[in-house]
Amino acid sequence: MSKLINQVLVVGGGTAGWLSASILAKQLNSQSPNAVQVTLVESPNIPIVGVGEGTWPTIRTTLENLGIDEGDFMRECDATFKQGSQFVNWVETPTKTHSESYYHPLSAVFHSSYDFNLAPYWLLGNAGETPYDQAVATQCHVCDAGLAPKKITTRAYDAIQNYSYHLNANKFSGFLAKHSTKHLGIKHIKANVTRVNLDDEGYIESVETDTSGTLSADFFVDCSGSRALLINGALNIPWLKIDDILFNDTALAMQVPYENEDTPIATHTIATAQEAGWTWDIGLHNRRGVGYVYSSKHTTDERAEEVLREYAGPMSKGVQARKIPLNLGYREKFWHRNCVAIGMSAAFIEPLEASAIFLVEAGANMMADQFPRSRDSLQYVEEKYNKTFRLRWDKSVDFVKLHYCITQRTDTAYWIDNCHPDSIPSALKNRLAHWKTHPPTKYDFDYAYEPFVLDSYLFVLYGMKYNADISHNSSSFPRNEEAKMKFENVEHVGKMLEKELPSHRDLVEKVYKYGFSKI
Amino acid sequence: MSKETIKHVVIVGGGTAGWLTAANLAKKFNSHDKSSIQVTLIESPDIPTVGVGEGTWPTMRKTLAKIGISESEFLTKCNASFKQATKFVNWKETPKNETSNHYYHLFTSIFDPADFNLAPYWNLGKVGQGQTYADSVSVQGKICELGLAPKTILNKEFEGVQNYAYHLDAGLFAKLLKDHCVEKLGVVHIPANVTEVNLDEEGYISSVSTDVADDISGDFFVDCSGFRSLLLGDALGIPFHSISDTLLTDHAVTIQVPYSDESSPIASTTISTAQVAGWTWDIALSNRRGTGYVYSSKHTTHEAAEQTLRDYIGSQAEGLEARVIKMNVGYRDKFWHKNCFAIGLSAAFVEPLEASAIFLIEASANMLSELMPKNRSTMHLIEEKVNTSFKFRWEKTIDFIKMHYFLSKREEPFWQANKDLSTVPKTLIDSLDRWKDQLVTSYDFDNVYEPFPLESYQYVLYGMGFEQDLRYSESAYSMTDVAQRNYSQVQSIAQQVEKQLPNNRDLLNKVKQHGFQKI
Amino acid sequence: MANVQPISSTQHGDVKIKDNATLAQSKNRHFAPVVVQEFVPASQEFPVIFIKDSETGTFRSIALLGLKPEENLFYADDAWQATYKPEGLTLSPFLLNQGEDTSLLCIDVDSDLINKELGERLFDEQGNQTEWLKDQGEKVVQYVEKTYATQNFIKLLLDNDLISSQTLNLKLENQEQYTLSGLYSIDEKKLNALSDEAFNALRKTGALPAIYASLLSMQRIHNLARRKMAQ
Repeated sequence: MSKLINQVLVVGGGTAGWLSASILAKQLNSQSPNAVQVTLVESPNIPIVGVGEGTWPTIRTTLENLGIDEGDFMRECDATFKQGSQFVNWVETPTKTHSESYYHPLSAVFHSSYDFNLAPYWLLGNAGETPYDQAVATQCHVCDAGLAPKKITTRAYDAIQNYSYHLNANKFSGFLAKHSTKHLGIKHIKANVTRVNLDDEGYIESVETDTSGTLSADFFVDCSGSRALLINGALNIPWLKIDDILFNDTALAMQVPYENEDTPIATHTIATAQEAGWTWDIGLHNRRGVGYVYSSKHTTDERAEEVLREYAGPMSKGVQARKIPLNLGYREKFWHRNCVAIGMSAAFIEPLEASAIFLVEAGANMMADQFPRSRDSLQYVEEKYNKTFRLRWDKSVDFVKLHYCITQRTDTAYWIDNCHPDSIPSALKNRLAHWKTHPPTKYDFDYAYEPFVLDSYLFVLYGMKYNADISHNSSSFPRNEEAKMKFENVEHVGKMLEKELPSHRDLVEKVYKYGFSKI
Repeated sequence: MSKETIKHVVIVGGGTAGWLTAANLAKKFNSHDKSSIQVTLIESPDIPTVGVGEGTWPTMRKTLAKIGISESEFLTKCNASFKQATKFVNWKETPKNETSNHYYHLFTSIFDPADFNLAPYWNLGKVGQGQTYADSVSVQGKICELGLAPKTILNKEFEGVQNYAYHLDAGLFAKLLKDHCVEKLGVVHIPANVTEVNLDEEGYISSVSTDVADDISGDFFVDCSGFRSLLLGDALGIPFHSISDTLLTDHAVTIQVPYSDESSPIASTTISTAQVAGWTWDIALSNRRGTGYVYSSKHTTHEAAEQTLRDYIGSQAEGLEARVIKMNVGYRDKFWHKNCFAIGLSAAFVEPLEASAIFLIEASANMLSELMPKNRSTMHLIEEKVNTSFKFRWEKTIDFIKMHYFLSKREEPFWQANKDLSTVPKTLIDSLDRWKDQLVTSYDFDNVYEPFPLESYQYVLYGMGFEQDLRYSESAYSMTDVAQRNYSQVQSIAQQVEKQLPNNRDLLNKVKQHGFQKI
Repeated sequence: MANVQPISSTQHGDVKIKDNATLAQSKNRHFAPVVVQEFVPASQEFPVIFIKDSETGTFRSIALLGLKPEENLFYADDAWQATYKPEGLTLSPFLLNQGEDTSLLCIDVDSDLINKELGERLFDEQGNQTEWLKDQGEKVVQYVEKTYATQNFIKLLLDNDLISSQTLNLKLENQEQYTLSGLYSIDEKKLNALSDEAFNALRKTGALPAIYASLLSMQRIHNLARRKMAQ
């Protein structure tokens, strides 16, 4: 066996750094002295970006595996429950009297359409006038009513309606740091990396720091964000831009206080389409994180701030807005030799479907699962990892673009430009062509690690009112009675849940006080 | 032309491929309603069907239920029996001094390795020391050794205590399917020989000419004409890509063996026994055994091969007729071209080592019925999707089969030839190289069309005595108590099954008398 | 298991059968077979449902007598406590053994009812069948006819897809919980969803009273619960 890999150095803190380090240390059992050891070095002063404050339901499994108590986590990270995203005004230009919206709920990940795909039946009119999301998912009713996805008596990490969290990313990395250094055997060094040293074969050998000397390791994880000290700085792996597909290049963010202690907290992310982009609205416990993601080619910074403040409402008066440049794209390769980039050093797309933290979890999981024990094994994992993540990022870009390119809005050049065929990836174009006459099926998703599954596409496609005519094949869908019953059931369960579930804010307050039981 | 809706599908060729496809399509389209897509099958009254592929996969249960054939009727009319595994005898090494070796490739593990993989704990000797891998994770090996069935008369149809598939008489199966198609599913049957295939100006098939009926036109054609590949190969000129440089067997000699008496036990596993220049199959139906020897004519003569088969069968073989079949091992460059899709032997053929033929027919028919294009305009998109999917499936099937040979330590020339690296696909070499010190993980199976799941690879790898050294990652497998608990559960279930399950023949007799209930 | 012998004057000349008012043989059985003709009276006291025969998997109709195997809540103080007596139980120890051409009346020689002192004789001094034995024989033959009718009735239910598998979850007042699985009953939803045509056809076969009797008898599970509590 060639040189063994015994030491891992994670460069950079934040969500990416601490999630990667924790997941790796847990999998490799770094607590044990014979196991692979994990060290994390982070700058004591570089501020963390703080975007990506929505998560996916996979975070629950991740936290549970790391041995974290759900109540503690929520309390210390200002977290609340997220049950999906609501897309407002993406299909039609809003007027003073007209606005539309649709949900992409998190219950989508249950693949229920693999057992019985209700989409064709909805298309053929079996649910009457009810929009697709309301017809197939009780979770939409729950979100509309501002209810929580579980009760105080529900076990930790268990769900009545599938959920994830909205969280304060800064507090989250601090929380992880505390937990992982204490329980998972991770060594924590606070210092700035000044130089990266390569050996004669082009592998990273060590990094120099300002206050902690030279740190050597056998394997390196680059979580240094857009600075990409290792993967770009030292290993020169270039960045591929996607600004020809997704136009947004700037974000303007602010923290808006609630009117008072009882103001309801939204249990879903609200993404509202604007004239040159979209605003996010994420309800944490003590404030709302609000921001405008926009294209500087289609509007000015001043106008953007106006739009944001108008959206955020009176409580935003006097609150400062922070401008963040967005460089959308991804590395040509994420893993090179003995270094893998995870987080913004690897890729970044706009947070329309909150994929950033999810892809950090996915990257860390795959790295941990496939962790090569010797230099010989690196090549195989590098190829596989790069192929997998390239696919995942491409598919994420496709899915985000889908929200834009089938809009019926033509009120500004931004929306018209977004529908231009040259800006649409060919794989997506082909699928859309096919879906004009056939509803999406599981055969459109041949990759086992699809970031967005069939059900997710259905919610967006039909939420965006994509015109599809399947009448030629209506005899292939004869289970009308069954479908009608399922639609009725969704309504019925929705009504039941309204009586069972507490309001979102009520549950959050209770959890902060009492936590959830592990049994 | 391209806007005309597809209304009529013509299948050329009967047998398992033709009739399973017809049943699947007609059921999906609701063909007995004359306003839906219609299905016609043209079958030669003279050409005998090949009759290989008498083992199936558990997917067959779903298929039968979907097309509306009851399990009881199927078992009775097709002389079928239950299949729970393939038993590989003497594959690991040449038997010496009367001792033989064997291992099982089973259908059921008690614990899904995706949830908890017992393999590393077994490998590191923490559970199941001195026991085979199969017996450490499953009770099905024991069930097969005892000749017990995978269910009882109290289980409803298609439901099992253990996962199972069938052994069946392909000729009788085709007949059952034909009757069902014609009587219940609205398929039109034309007994005739196809004499010409007629193309239109764009190179699409417009009709076929026959010796008894008028030209039969259609919008879409399925080529189930076997090795002759009248449509895809002959008329459309899609070449055949031989893999005789990878899989070295090229002929099969077969003999049907009656049971010595009415109460002879019926094996509920396919028995595959390695021989000097190939391997013999032994498939137990309810009324006879089908046996055959798959061999390489470069490493033995036809006479010697027949003798090897007779020796395997023993004295019962006296007076029984043998039949030799030449096998064209390989696959078409593409399976779908323009408005023609080849299913069955016209598409591809590999030796039946893992009974993949009928499974791939089911998969083809499923995909076609779900994706049947509305008209020609989007056909090429589906063509590409289907070709990519099936090329992948065939390549993986070939890899998996080759793996059985490559890992063998047998010494005869045929077996040595199989270890020559020039006969081994690179994908297999790479995978095995990785697995020599890393566990097989779900990341190795990232395409949803993987024909063989993770656990199948583990059964074969460990059964063939593949050496996997996990010592360096030992500390990562720290959940020894969970492993021991799960292992004990497997052992305790193994104790109980003996009392719960009937023997195969008894159950098959009861089914003939009473059938399985539908609920 | 029954130890069955055909009745003959040579073997059983001096056999007497005790009176079986107590139905003692049912003491440790949690169900009793019922024929369709009995559904109405039986449904007054017992849940009338279906189970699969353990040898053949075919369906049988039964009266449920207990909440767990070997428990008969209707047998106490050495006597049968219910008002109704399922006919099959009353014919003990007689059975009909059906061959190709002929049927033979048999008895289960292990039955406690068989003795030489008390009860009805099978044969008189001359070795001829007693009136009583002939009577019993008649009853057994007719009962067997009723079982055929019952099988036809069950087939009718299956053909109309009216039977569903049931797991009964019972929680008694004293917090004890019972889960009974392997039971099958008539599905009211499916019955109500029948087309007019199918329902009329069912009505004409005369099956409706038995169907509704079985449906309504599901309430009798509370009888069982009460008896259990009273134990």
